[in-house]
Amino acid sequence: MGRCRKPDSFSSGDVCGKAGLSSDRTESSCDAGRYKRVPSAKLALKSRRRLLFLAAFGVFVAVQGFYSFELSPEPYPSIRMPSFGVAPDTEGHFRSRVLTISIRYEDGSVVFPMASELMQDFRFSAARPSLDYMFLGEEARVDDQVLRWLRKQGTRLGNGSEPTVITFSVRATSVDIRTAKYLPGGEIQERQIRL
Amino acid sequence: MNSIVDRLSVFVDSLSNRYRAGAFYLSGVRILFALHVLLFPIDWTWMARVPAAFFHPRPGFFQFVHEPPTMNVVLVLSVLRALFALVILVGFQTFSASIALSAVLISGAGLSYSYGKLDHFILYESFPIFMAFAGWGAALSLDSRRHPVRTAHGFPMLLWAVTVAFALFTAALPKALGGWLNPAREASRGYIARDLADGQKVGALAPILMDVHSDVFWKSFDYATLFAEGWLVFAVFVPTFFRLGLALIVAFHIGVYLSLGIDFFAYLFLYLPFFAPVVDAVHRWLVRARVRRRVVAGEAHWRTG
Repeated sequence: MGRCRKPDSFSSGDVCGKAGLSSDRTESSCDAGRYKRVPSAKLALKSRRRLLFLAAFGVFVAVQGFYSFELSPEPYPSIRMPSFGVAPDTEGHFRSRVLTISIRYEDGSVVFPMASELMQDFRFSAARPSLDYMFLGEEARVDDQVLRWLRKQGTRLGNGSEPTVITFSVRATSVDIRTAKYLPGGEIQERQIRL
Repeated sequence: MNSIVDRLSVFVDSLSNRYRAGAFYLSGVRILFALHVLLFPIDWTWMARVPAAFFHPRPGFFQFVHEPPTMNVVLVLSVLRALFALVILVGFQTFSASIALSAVLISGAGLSYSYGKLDHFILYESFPIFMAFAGWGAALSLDSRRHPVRTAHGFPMLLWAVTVAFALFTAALPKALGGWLNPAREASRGYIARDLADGQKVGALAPILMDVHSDVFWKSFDYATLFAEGWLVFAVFVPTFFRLGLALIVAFHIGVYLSLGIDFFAYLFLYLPFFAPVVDAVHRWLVRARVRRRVVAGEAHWRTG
């Protein structure tokens, strides 16, 4: 006799009890709520295929996970969630890089925009990584198009004044996690771009 | 050997059945998800407004794309996203449209992640594929009017549970290797402090939390995070534990939002299909309560004549 019963509720699926492969198991197909009779052997084959598929899927997920951890930067698409990163040290200091941007104008004035203000055209989450890639890394090259774009941002941030030079200054320091303040000192890396 | 395989097969069948959600409930999830895609679309047009030199695809499928997307490409992708979401909303050709929507979401995201930041929304982007196989178009849809077989499948739900559990495990593993287990290293406190020092994006409760100076409090945050993300790969084999684990993860997302300002609320849709039995239990309780009220009212009416 079949063990499937029709769903008696609006949200749960049909309940098939312990559908199994042994000879005493149901002959009704619990799958997909179709209540037609299906031979046990056919059901058993289907169950084994599912098991095989699940095993293969598990291996696939694990292998792509291993692959994604091995590669840098992280590949996409891959099944991963953000992990934040390493913990602060035992002294309560968290390594950090403090970025200061300054734009100097023809009239001698200077503005200090935040990274997200300078990179306003970018999606918020992409702003800082894009800035790091283009202006603080060694992979990218500032071409004419980037220069024109940078000049345009400078003009926008200076309320129409003509920008002459932009400076990116990065201080490698730490945050004291008890006070949420940067520690003084630290090596400074600087890059100037004439606009 | 055969007996082991048979027993495992029985176990997988049983798990599939316990993860299966009703067609009506799944269709509700489909409608909510489609509405979310339609009403809160991620802007992709910025990609066409920034200089091409910023474009540097990461490893994977997108490393074969050598040019940044033009405005036309971005607009076509955005229109397709809206179109497929609309088609899924009404449930027309739901299966094909769901797969197409995932393809569009992954394409758009893959291009935008080629500007340095990976936002880790792969579960959101691949969700429609799994749900198409689970049968989220089987009710409340034009498809169900044409082919009135209201069925939902448990096995794709099991695969989705495995995917979610593994994804969260990939968040826990680097933490465990990166010092989060060390009782003397307070990671949660560190990230909140760093955001406060930086000042660009701060969670609403971050300043208040920073006033808590108990090491036990902060370290319990770290361990709770590791547990919530890490144990689901084991809990996935016991659906009740898995659902409890997801409830914990929802609390974790809320905590992350309040303390770090990182919004993962779109992920709530992805956990919804697993809560069918909970919703069902609440529904049954409400129905019983209504019947009880009517009986009591009837008795009172009968006594008073």
